[in-house]
Amino acid sequence: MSVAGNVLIICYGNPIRGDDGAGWRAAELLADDPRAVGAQVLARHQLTPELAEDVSRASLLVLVDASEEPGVAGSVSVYPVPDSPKAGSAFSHHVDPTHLLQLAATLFGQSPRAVQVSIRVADIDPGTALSAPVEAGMPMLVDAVIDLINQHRQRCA
Amino acid sequence: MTEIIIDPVTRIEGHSKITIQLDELGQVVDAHFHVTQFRGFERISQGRPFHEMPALMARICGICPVSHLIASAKTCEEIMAVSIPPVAVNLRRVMNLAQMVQSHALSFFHLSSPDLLLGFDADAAGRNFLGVAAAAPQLALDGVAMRKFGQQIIERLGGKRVHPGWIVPGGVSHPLEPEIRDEILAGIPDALERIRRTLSWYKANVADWADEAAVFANFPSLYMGLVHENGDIAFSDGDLRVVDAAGYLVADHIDPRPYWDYLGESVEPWSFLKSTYWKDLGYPEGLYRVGPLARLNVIDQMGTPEADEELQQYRERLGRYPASSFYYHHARLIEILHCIHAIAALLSDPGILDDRVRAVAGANRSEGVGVSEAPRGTLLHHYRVDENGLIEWANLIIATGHNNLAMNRGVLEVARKYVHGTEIQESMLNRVEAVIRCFDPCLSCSTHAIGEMPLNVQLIGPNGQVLDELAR
Repeated sequence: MSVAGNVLIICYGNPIRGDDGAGWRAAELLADDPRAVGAQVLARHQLTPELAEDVSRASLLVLVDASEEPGVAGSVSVYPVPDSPKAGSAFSHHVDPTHLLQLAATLFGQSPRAVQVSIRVADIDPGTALSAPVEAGMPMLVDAVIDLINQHRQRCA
Repeated sequence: MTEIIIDPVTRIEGHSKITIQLDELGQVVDAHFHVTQFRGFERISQGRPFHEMPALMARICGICPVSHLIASAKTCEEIMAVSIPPVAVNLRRVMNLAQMVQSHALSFFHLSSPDLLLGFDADAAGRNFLGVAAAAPQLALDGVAMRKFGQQIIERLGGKRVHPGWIVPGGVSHPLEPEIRDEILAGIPDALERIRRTLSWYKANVADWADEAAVFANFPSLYMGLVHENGDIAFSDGDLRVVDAAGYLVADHIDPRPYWDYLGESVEPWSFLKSTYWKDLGYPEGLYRVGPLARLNVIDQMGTPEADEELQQYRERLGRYPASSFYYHHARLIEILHCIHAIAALLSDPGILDDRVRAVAGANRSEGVGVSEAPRGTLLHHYRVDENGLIEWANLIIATGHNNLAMNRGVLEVARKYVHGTEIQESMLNRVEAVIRCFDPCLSCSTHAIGEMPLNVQLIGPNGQVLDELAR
């Protein structure tokens, strides 16, 4: 059963592939951020079907990831998770955000409103450090997630 | 000559393609399973201190890092010339058993159950785990829960569910806390209920898959796996045993150290995956299989009563040495049942909380070999170090390499049965992929993928023209 105000933040990526580890860095920052108190923060390499139950219990799901979409490195995008999966997306041990929401609804009866927050990468070569532009963009990424949490809480109040 | 290319193969761990060559009459004349990704860990490790190897080797795979940790740590302990504390042996066993559960659950439920439940001829668009969730929610729930059960044990023991750092040269880094033990034990009844339900479902439906079972890599071969001294199945320790298709004991309790005396490694120009073969029979006649089907063929018994009952039923129905690789699925479920019981037994021993969990030493030998069972089969690590303990040379033989010859023969066998003519049908190609899924090959998938995994199949004529094309 989801509870109004229950916020689940799943930060994902590969922490040893440079900027693809932005999600893990965000998870660290959000876990220490007093503005995010009460939200559940998970760091994962990928989205997997095992997350469906946790997702079903949330009233807001925020997915934090690195993006290879064209744009300025370190810039942040916020957009709702689409209802339809990307064309050609395969279904294996990891799932895309849309499939994860569909699994939550199918197996556990409900899925939350879901928003993706992505930061554009500069370098995803092997390494544990973020590039300078992505590191500089992390505060903006965290603020974007906090804004979503605050908006959601106001809506639920 | 016409060629069909399946690129990439879907619902497996990693990146590969299949090519099928047809003659002028549209009959299959040859087929290959190509592994198209290159990792290079044997080279990357050169110059690293040997004690870093387990953590480095775990990065080979995001699904079965624990097996690499164990094989690598055992190799390091040969170099250190130490015996590790008994409780460390048992704690490693618990983590490896948990990995078996989560990896086997992934293979059976997430990757293969869409074919089994929905049918090999079902519409490809819905033939996936979401389709399973819609058609049989309990089956999907059991899959999700069992994978989570295994992953959570790994996370509770090692701090992370992927690439845990707990297994180190000499043992494990810290002892087990009582509350973690109790938490894991509390999850045992639910996990048992779920695997029992799944086994019942599988056995009730197995007759529906008789056609596939008859041709899915169904041929005599050797089988290899680890066994304990008493013939029980072994995953983290034990010795190697090899039997042939009739059960003749080819080798028993052999030391892995001179594996090069009995295992040959061959390289083909069309794949980055080595093919390993039994030297006495030569290449490629020395084909053998590892993994769940092979393990159940080489052992005398599982070693836990309920799993032994299931093994007895399995052997009564399929014979003592089943040859069809389709039965990897059934063997996988029996292994899950055993692993859950074995975890419970190990954690119920009060000695599991002992705090002497690590032996400490430097490099006292220049060479070491370590072996463990990964979910997909036997895993061998072999390192040589210099006088400072830096890696000079490394060789890894992974389960999928042991199975490479069998997978290729299986692809050819299934293609000959199901692929005819010059018009491609998705369902016949799915069966060619499905025989690969039986082996659950792990081509390493630890990298977070950004992008898509389309399947493109082209039928190419003798002059290189595209005669037909399918994409999904």
